[in-house]
Amino acid sequence: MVTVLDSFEDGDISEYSGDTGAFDVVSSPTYDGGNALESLGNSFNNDITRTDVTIAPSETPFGAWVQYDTVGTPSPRFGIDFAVQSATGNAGLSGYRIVLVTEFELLELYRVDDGSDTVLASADYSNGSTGTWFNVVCTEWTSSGDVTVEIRDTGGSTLASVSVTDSTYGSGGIGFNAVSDETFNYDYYYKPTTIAPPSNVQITDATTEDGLTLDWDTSGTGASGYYVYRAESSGSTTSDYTQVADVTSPPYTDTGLEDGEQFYYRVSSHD
Amino acid sequence: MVESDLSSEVNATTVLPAPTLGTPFADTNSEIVVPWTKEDDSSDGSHGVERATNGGSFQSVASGLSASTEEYATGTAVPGTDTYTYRVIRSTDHATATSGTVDVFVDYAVTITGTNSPVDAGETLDVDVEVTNNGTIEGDQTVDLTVEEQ
Repeated sequence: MVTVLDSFEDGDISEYSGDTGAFDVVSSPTYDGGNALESLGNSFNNDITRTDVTIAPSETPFGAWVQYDTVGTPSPRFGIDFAVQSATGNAGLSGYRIVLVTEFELLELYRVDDGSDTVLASADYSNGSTGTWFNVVCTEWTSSGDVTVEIRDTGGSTLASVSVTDSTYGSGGIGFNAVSDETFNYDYYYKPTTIAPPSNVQITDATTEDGLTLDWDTSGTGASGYYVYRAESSGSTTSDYTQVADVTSPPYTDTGLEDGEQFYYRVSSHD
Repeated sequence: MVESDLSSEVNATTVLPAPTLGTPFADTNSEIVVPWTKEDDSSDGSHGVERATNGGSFQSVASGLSASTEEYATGTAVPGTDTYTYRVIRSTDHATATSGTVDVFVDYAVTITGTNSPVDAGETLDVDVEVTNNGTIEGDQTVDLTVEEQ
């Protein structure tokens, strides 16, 4: 399951800050749905970013689909931003950027510090072609700064991969970048759907012979349901427990229990 | 289906209902038998029997009786002496429950209500005896008739 951070189906880029005059929403070409983003190729180094949606380390793989129509010169490049620290244009941008240098078929990972680019890693990719959607994807991003990014073709084959260790920036927003007179297309920026376990799980009623009642906080879980797990000894993973319920909301009363017996519970969230 | 990590673990123990005491009785060996009904559905753990004498503190008279045991012969009592108070302790691996209490007092009164005494040698001595159970439980009691020569 993935969460689509933006597929431009709303038809505009009003959620973005920065160099918004350098991008527009178009109906063709698209990777997904009826709209995609296009850089207009009308200035030098542009970014649009937003921080109302974020990606955190460990939320991998995340990425977007991109396409270029012409190779062009000199060394046009474009990419997607992540770990964007504040919603801004190219000037003042801090975060990371996955870049394709189309003329040389290079996959690069940049760190951007207050608008200044540093190439952290670079690798050649083959089989690049115009008019084809590619998936630029971050397959690893740890809190300690281990980062791996790839370019994949539409069949899912990895064309190139680079890995670095850089922990300058953590969780942040997303963005899109273009450096060229050429036009590029971007669509379907996604990340894995993540669901948090419920908090404050507690047994609120242990006054009967045959049942125990559990309650928990659902705020911030992003879940549509909850699994209740039970065991007669303390455990740590789902294999240590028996799933006894799938409920849409708390509380839950586990019934038919043996009298005078101790029971252990954990709860998980699911979509 | 995307599932989150597990929450922190919580635990609790269900209530263990206490045994219900029955009416004590004396068996054929004059032992005081305390019966009870197990009220829980657990198969583990054990039962124990405790006794207090004349309102004193409870002392264990039996422990480690099986979970399916529902009576225990606690021994004999000297009639007309002590009042015993019994209770039953039910224990599982995680809970303990104590029954209510029941008092047991054993006392018999024997009275000769009629006799043809004295009798001569060779005659039959007839004695009418009334035995009254003044205690709190049913039981059998042996009455000894002692004839003393005069």
